[in-house]
Amino acid sequence: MSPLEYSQARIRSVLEEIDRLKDAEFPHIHSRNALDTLEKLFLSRLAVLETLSSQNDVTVVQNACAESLTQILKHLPLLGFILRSTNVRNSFEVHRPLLQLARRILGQQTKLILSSEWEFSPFVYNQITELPEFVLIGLPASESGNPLLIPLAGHELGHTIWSQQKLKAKFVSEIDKVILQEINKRGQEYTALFFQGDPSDPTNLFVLENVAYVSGWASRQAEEAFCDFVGTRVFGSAYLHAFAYLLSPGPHGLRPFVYPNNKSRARNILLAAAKFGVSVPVYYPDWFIDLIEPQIGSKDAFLLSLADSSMQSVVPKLMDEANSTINAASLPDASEERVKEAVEAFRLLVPATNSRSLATILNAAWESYHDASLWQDLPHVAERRSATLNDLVLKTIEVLDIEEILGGSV
Amino acid sequence: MILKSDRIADRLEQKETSDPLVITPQPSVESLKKGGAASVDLRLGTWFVTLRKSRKASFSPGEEATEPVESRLTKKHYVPFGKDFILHPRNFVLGVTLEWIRVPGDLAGYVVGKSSWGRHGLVIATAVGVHPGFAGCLTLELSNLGEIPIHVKPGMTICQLFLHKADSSSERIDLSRFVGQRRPALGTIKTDDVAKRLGQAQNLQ
Repeated sequence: MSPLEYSQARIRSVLEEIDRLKDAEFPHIHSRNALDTLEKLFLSRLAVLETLSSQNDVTVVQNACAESLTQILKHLPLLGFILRSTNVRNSFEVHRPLLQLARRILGQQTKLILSSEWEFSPFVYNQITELPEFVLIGLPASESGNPLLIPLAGHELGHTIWSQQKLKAKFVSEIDKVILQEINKRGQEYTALFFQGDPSDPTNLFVLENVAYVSGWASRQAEEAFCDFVGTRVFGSAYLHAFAYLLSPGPHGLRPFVYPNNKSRARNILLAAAKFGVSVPVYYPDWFIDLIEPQIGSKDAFLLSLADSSMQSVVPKLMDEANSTINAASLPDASEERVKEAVEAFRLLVPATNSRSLATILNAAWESYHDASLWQDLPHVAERRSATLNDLVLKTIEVLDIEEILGGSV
Repeated sequence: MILKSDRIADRLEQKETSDPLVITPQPSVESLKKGGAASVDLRLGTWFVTLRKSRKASFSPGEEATEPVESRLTKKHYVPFGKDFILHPRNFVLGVTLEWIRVPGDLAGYVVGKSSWGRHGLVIATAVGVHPGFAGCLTLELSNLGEIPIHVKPGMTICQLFLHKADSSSERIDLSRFVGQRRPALGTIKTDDVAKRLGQAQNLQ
């Protein structure tokens, strides 16, 4: 046996697994579409490997084998994600309404796989080059049947917008400019730490290298902030509640450099909420605790502070970008009146009708969730309050889907 | 007194009451008014429950108290609009109405299969009584007594709901016991005290 034969066997195993996955009950065709695409990819890898033998140049063979292994490493978790999209724990009723929303923002070619993750944080698979038109959203497995968390899909859609509209390129020059300005402003501190000549010299390559380093962190932070703003703009208060449900007060642990810390993230969400006219719980930032800042040297601490301040400087523009992108999609907003009607329907133990948007339904859902008096006069319902509300919300989402199908907007 | 469809339509239009009759998605009120039937048609929903025949040897009433029968004994299936669920001869499956129904305190009802389906061998509901205060989707018992497989499709009309006045001398009844769900449920078979004591009669000998 040789690495080439092992590689061929590994690819055949993946293809057999894809074949087995095709037998699953797919409630929505997009999961099956993704499998077909991945099958073609692995068939083409196998075809390449089958043209090779020990007679070929060793480097060529090794490269082909390494590439095939890379593809398996990259796509095997995705196959698991696709399989989990068929699990009945998921809120299947959400698929088409969320797809419609995604298509209004990202275009009609968009396909959606809604699945569950064994990571607690909702996750989106970014930049799967073989599946460019797919949005893949996974809610934590323990919460994937909970419709109250659907607003977090707004954050995940934000990542796809960021990538599709190449927003990193748009914001990175602004971020770099602010980093340089900050270095100049704190020139003495910088020089004392780095001993790299005049920091204001635009040809100082040492400075430019540090700028690039910091810019990487800051642009990832900016992406996360942008995604929060998209979620807030699309789903209003419901996004804030879902975010708090999932993450407040925050876990123990060290803060990753590529995320703003929890409190400042919550403060930025509040800024966006104020800008978008979204009402928020008064003490919202107090619900969160910051992750521990990592024990890093003074140089890295200085650079991280540059990343934080440069990201913060682009926050207003990130909010504008989220706002204009969602405005362009002409999504039906959650009017207060419709939310009130839906809340009243839930109180009567019936699904709401004419909600017109997921945002309306989910804001009404959160309002009902927070209403301590809900169904208190109905003890048998109050006993299974959360399950009943989930059922009502998901049925309302199905009713929205039916109204859109019959109204011709799908 | 059974409500004819125009009376059902009237009740559906009464929105300002604190205890309304609601059927969502609502059938066409105009058609109901013109129809003259004594029932309202209901559609098949998107969720089904089948029995896991290989997981348990049998089912015995009362065992719900010691183990969660519903999850051990059943498997849920979601069939989106546009897809079929194939019901083979002599197979049994639980379905659910597409409509979420809320029955006010002064009405009760029962569900009957549509005769057009019955003549094709599809029996839809064997014992679906709808109590005053019920809210939820109605679980349906689908069984194919015919000779050939039947494709059932979410969204198709499957059964009819008859409603009649429910009279009571009690001023206040707790109606919340009958709140249902959006998915079909196997439910529990409760053994009452009489059944328990009769079941223990052998020990008395």
